[in-house]
Amino acid sequence: MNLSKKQILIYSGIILILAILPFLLGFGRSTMTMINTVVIYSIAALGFNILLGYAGQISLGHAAFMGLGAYVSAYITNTLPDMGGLEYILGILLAGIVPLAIGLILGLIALRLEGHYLAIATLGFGVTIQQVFKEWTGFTNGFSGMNAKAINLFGISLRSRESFYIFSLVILVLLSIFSYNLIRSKIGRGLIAMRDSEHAAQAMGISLFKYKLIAFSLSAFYAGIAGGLYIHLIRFVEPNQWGVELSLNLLAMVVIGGLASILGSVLGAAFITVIPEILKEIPLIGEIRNFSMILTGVALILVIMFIPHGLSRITYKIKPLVKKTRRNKKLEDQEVV
Amino acid sequence: MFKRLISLMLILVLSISMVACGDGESEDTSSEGSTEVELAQGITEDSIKIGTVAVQSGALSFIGAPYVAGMESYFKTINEDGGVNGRKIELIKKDDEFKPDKSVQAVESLIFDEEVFAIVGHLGTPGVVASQEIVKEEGIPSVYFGSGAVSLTKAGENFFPVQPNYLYEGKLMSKFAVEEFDAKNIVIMYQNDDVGNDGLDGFKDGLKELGEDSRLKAEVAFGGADTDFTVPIQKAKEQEPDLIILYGLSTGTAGILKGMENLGMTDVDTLTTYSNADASFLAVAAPGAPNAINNLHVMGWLEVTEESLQPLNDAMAKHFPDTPINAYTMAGWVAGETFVAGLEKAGDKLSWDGYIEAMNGLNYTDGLAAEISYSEGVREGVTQMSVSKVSESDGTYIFEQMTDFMEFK
Amino acid sequence: MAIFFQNIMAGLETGSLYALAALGLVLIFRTSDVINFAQGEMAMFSTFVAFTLFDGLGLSYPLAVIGALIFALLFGFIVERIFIRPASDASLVSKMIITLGLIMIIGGLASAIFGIDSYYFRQAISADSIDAAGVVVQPNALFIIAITLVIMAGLFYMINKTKVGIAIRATAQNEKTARLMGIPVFKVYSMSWIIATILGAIAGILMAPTTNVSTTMMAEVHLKSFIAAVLGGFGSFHGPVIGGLIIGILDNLVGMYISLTWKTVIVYGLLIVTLIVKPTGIFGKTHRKKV
Repeated sequence: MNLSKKQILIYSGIILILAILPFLLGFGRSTMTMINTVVIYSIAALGFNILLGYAGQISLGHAAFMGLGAYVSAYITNTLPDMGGLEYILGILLAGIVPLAIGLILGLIALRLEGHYLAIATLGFGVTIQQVFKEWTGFTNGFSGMNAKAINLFGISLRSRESFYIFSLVILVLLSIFSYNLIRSKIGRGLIAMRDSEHAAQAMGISLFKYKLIAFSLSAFYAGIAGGLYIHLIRFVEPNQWGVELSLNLLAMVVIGGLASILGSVLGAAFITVIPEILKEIPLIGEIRNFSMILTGVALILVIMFIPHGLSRITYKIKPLVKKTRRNKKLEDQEVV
Repeated sequence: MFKRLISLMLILVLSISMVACGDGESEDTSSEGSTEVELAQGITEDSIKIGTVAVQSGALSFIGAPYVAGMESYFKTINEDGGVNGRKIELIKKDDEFKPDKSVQAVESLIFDEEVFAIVGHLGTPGVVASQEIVKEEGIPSVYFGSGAVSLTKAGENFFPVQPNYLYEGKLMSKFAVEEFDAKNIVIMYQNDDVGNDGLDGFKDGLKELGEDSRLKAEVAFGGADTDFTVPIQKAKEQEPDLIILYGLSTGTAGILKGMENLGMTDVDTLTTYSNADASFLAVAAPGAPNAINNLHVMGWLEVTEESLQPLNDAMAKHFPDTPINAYTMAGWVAGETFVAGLEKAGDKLSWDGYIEAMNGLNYTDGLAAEISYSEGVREGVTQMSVSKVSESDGTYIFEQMTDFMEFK
Repeated sequence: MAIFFQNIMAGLETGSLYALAALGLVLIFRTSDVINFAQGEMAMFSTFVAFTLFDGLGLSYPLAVIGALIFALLFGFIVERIFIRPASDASLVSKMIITLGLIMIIGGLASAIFGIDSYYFRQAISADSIDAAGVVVQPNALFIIAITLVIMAGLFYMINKTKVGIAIRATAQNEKTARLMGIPVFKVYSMSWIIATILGAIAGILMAPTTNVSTTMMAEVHLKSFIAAVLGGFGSFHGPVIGGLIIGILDNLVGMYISLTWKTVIVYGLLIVTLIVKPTGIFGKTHRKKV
């Protein structure tokens, strides 16, 4: 493990502070719900980052995996008898595993394609899976949507927003640690080599197809887990939300937050989820129809233009600026300039 | 390796203890005012704060924007006349973009942050169903839903659905198809989404209950956003129908009518859903289908005449002159009417129980709808509908009521 | 048999519009390396301009259309200049996100300026239908197909036989070399964006009679144009056109003879199958990449 003891302590500290923060600041219930959705989308973005940030593959259909996870977990927890909480763990695990399997199959079909072809093919997959959500009424209840229960782990109910927050935060942390280790492992290095130059990587003996498949399936796994958590928070799922718009939002989250960065996934998810809500609350301007939509679009473009490497790397921009101003000041003082 | 394990365990232990702690903290969500005889939250001496949740931005804003405008213009009119029993109504609007997670957030914000007295006109089945449990738990009155969810009729004493859902409308359509049109070769063309599917199911159920299934010859799906309706229309044409049920929203239905015109199907009677029961739909559909439009009929649950619409038209012209007046606007207006009707009846008993009690004996006939009534345990909403047909004068098309109001019994 | 040909006719009509949109997509992609997700919104906006000129200002139809095309020219130029060119060094995904932001801005502005209602917009040619052996042929449909072919021919002539065309092809092939050869690459960007926006506007205006003018009118065409571009292959300019026509016809045939509810899925499925066999599209060429 490459993290020094000091770094581990710092990260643990930050995580603990994050965990307690809502309680300290006394967030209202709807804010807590929003924060919970941020955590959930962070998990999905984390997985997507593995695919896009590290493996360099574009997918425009990942919303379908998230939806699949939601439906799987709802179906399982609704059908299984009360096992004291085990059914929820099973539900969430399968919410990740089923999309992983589907991702494996789809990847076998599509991952020979490149760049924009892959993007459109995954778009097609997303639409197809969404259509299945709408038509397979036996499994998903079709257009009417499906209800699910709140998680009840061995007596501890995760109904309240606060307890759900801790639960999902723990899962986010665990998955982040997993991602971190993955990047540092042989697989991770292979992914990065592949992203930087496919041909060079191939020349070094890395099987492109195998690694693309791993990245794709893993990202589907993360998305599925996120979906599974979602359904137990909102307790209702319907087919219309898992479409192109959400897939594009996931893409935006990762790019805005910062590719190939765990912190970036979280920041991006927070940005895309919270900014429109904040904009809506601005008095007077927030009332103009679609204003928040326009401003969110502007915000997206501004971030890409001025902070192209993502919010998590904003220091790359600030540090040189600070250094430059300091140096200029110093030169001025010495009356050189 | 070891150190990592330890820090992991620490995090987990602390987290689990947080869960146990956190659980206790959130027990705080007691509904203030639901057991008090005195005023519930959101009520002051001279104002009543209420909230609504509807899609205001994005692709579906064509539903939510006129809807909220209709509602808000009604409340402004009431306020201009002095409010209800001396209290003016303050409407808080939340945009949920038709997404259930944002809808849940909006409802929670209204109940716990804004502390409104009631939720009026929550629009969108996904959001309504997703937040149903919260509303039920808190006991806050929720009046009028822009949703066809059947579960609302059985959701609880504090739920007051009004507009008929598509399932019921489909059923009632079948009754009209048999009794009014006496159609023997019926084809139903339905939009391939929740709206159309509900209508389709309702229609089939209705025919079945009447024992007349054999009259339905074909079910043809189409997409609301389709760019070409040739295939569905041809499939319908093959059956040589004498009545076509068009179960879709305005864009798709208008497209079908135009396609019918182009393919020469200008003699067949058509019947469409109440969501299209307004002049602005005709303005979009008629120019491209000048012959087919004359055979169009529409279901309606409101008594719409020039006279009855006058207050709405005036209010909209005054407050929202740029927003279209269509079936959605009228729905929002009715939402306002229903809520205020209960409010007036409740007088000073402005607790949640007091409001629910007042609504329980309501029999409101002064609004656009023929009759809105509730009694204890009965939350069916409006069940009477009528059929109107198209009439034209000087190039302007409107709908005229053709039959009486009828229920499916 | 008549039904079969009816479907083919209708398929060619809508397919032509997909072809126009797809061509615009590929043109922009091959020159400035951006997948323009905002194409549909821009086309919708131009169509609204045409409608406003026609209905609001009372201009005649041809004048309104020309006005809208002039607007599209400026629109494409401005968008490219302000949003795309500054980011020309960014990665593919970053540029994608910029166009995503554009979707929100343009879509939001359209709602704010033009409202959220739907409006009827007339067909280009309003003559009566002709009945040819049981097949109802609309002059308007013939007009659409003819216009598409004329535009195609014009564009292909320009791309293959004129200097501007050479500049476009050179930039599409290898930008750095093109620059070294003295080709004003930035002007080529502008050119391709302008052409693509105009193509989108034409597609929107011709589509309007069927879908009505509204802020969501181009959604379906937009999606289908992506499929068409991928099917035909991004590597050529005639690929997306043929892809569009195929998609239009296939959509109808599958809907008529197989299933209406699953037709989108089936068409996508066929697309995937094609891609497995030919990963760069039917007419695609394999790209050579530098290590």
